[in-house]
Amino acid sequence: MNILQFFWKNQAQIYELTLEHLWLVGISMLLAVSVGVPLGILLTRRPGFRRTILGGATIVQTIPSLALFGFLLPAPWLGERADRLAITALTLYALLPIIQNTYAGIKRVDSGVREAARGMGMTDFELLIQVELPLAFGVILTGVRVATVITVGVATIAAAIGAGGLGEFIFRGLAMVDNRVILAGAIPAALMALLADFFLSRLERRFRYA
Amino acid sequence: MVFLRALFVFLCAAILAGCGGVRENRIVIGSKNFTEQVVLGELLAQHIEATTHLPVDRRFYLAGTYICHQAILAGRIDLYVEYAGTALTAILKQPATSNPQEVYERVKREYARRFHLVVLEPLGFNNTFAIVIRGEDARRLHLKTISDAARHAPEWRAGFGYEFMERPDGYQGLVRTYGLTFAAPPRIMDLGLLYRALIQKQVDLVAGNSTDGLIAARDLAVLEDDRHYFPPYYAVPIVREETLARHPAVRTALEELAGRISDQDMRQMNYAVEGEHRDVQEVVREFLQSKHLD
Amino acid sequence: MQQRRPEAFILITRADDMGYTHTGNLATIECLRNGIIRCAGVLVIAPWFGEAAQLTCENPDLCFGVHLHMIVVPEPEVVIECRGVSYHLEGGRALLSDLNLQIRRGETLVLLGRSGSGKTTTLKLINKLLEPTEGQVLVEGRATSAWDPIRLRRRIGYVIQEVGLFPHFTVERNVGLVPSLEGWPAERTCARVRELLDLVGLEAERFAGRFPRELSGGQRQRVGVARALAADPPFLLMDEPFGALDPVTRAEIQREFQTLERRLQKTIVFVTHDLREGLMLATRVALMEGGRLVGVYTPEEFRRASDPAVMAYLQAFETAETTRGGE
Repeated sequence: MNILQFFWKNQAQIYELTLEHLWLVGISMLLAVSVGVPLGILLTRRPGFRRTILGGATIVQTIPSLALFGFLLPAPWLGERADRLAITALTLYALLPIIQNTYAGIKRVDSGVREAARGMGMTDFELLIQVELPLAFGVILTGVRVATVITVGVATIAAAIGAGGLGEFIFRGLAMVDNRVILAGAIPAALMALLADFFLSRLERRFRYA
Repeated sequence: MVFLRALFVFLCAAILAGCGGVRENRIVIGSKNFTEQVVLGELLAQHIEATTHLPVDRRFYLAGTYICHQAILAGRIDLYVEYAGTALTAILKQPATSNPQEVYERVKREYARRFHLVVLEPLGFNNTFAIVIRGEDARRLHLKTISDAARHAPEWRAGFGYEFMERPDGYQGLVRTYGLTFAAPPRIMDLGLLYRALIQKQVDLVAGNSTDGLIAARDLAVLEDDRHYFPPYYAVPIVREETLARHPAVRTALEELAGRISDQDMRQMNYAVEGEHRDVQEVVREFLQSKHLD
Repeated sequence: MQQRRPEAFILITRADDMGYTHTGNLATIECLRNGIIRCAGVLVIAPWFGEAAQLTCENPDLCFGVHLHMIVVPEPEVVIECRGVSYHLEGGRALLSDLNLQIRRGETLVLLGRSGSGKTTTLKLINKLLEPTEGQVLVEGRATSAWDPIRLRRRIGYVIQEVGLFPHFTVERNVGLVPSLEGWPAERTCARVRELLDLVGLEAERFAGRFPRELSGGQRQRVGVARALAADPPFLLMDEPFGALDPVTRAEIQREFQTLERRLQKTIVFVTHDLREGLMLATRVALMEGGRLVGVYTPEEFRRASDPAVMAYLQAFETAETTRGGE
């Protein structure tokens, strides 16, 4: 049975694992954005935290993903269920690009715009919501895009600790020494990363301001 | 804007779909990544297909005990075959005991309470450590148990694998329990080479697994563990409560298999797949037919 | 038949009246910026510049028998004041030292000086973008330290050289910023925006929906002025607003602004280094150098002043002008 027939025959399983993978990526990205963007905003308001927060996120990113999974395994509530663990690790991994880009995006707002806004009596909150965030949105989206592509990749490793997703095909295929099974995981995963990158790039372009 | 909305809907659908995992009427069977597990998985699959006519999805070669456990907890698989001793020590993290009944009861109780998983009746064989000697020696010296062999141990050389030497329930305990002394310190070698060394008379006694295929294929004898040193590793099917609730026929099908697979049966199937390189599905079908289980 | 005596009306009005001309029965009255009202035949000096009201006749023959009505408007109050204000940077460098300045309602005070003289710092102290290290800045009688910065800034229109229009807002949204922050109903904001765009010389239909990147430098600055005026604040702070424009556009905008000043009747603090612009637009000029106030003069007084700093400034400017003219 060649690879296409194999894909066709096992489409239900491929579909199921793809959805599992999407779910892992989706929840993690949602969490990463909910935590990362506010942290990035915090850094623009309280520069004193820069070293701690950016440093922390950088350290997490430097730890190899499999090692990070390993570190979290003994954790009391997290280690009990592989999906909790995977989502936690994936979220932590996605934080750095999002925090950095939020910070940079807001900082890049033209100083004249900021001065005019403050001078005309905008509160800090109004400035953030009406000026800084909309203008930084394109750059933040770049961070989200980078984080998403990373997350799709690291999520394949999550199967090693039992969280499922397309990585499961890859590991099973390795154990079975069956290329078709490996590809059944590798190809959709690669496609997912490419599509995410493509669509988010297009979105980014919409929000570019001079 | 339309584009953004489409993206949003897509993301929502993906997240919801992941949450639900609507499986309709399929049963998903998992297995670990070695031959015996794949054979057992296939066996359960074929039997369930034949008796309940439910479609079965096979997810074999999952990387290990932990992966299978996580998968069944998350509902990604409906059932797989575990070993009672492994369930007790590796998953429930309790100390091993050697009473098989006690182990089984405890595992069954805890699995139901903590994980809502049902542990069904053992399939019959016990995949534990086996002390193996050459068949001719067993017959010549009338050796049936390890205690019997202990008398001849000082004349013999033993061979063990790395893991057996390291494990607390391995070499150290064995020697202590049976008062074994060998002619020389045991040779430590790769598992794959143990049986060959035994057959070629480089060693006289090895520790393998009781369901190793080679034991059936070559003239080798397994010594009985009369002092019950090795913990029991009886194979039991583990199923999600929900699956049984939704498909009671599965329970019936699995109960039919209780006690039907002996150590020797398992060895023969293992050898057929590993040693003779036969197709797993064929081997299983043959077995089911021979036991009138199809 | 009784001959009616000729009458002339002398209106002594606010200081920022520029070249107001009224033709009465017999006389043409011209009120000059320095407070001197010239009536053909009668010279009147306005009282709020510290000099007693005097009526002097230049041409007694013409004036004889002219009945004068004088209507005096009280001296405009001080609305912005700096008392002993100093501003030091964190490193210790003083940008302003002991500044004492009074700004009256309705006047256009030009802060004049070279770069680094402290003009922009002074401006920013007024709308609390900076707070004085020593001394007090009072706006409408209250120290800026006591003002809520947001409330203060919303009473002050702010125009800067870079303009700082929000690139993601249309012209309309930019101009309507403060009204929308203040919660004006949409209709009222919309009407006001259109009114202001007309005021600054931009056709509302053409420009309201455009984005700043689609506008020229001059157009952007006009929008900036419109934006500053949107909520009709009593004060206007302008920091070298026309500095970034090309000379032709700049001259055009200056002239238009001059006309606008009259209509607006606001208290304006205008920072510039350009002498000509300053003298053209000012009711009074405050010359600053090295963080200190040299003096406050009317434009006429400035030209005639004997203070060495003033003369140096005048001279430097003339040299620059002649050099440029020679090119």
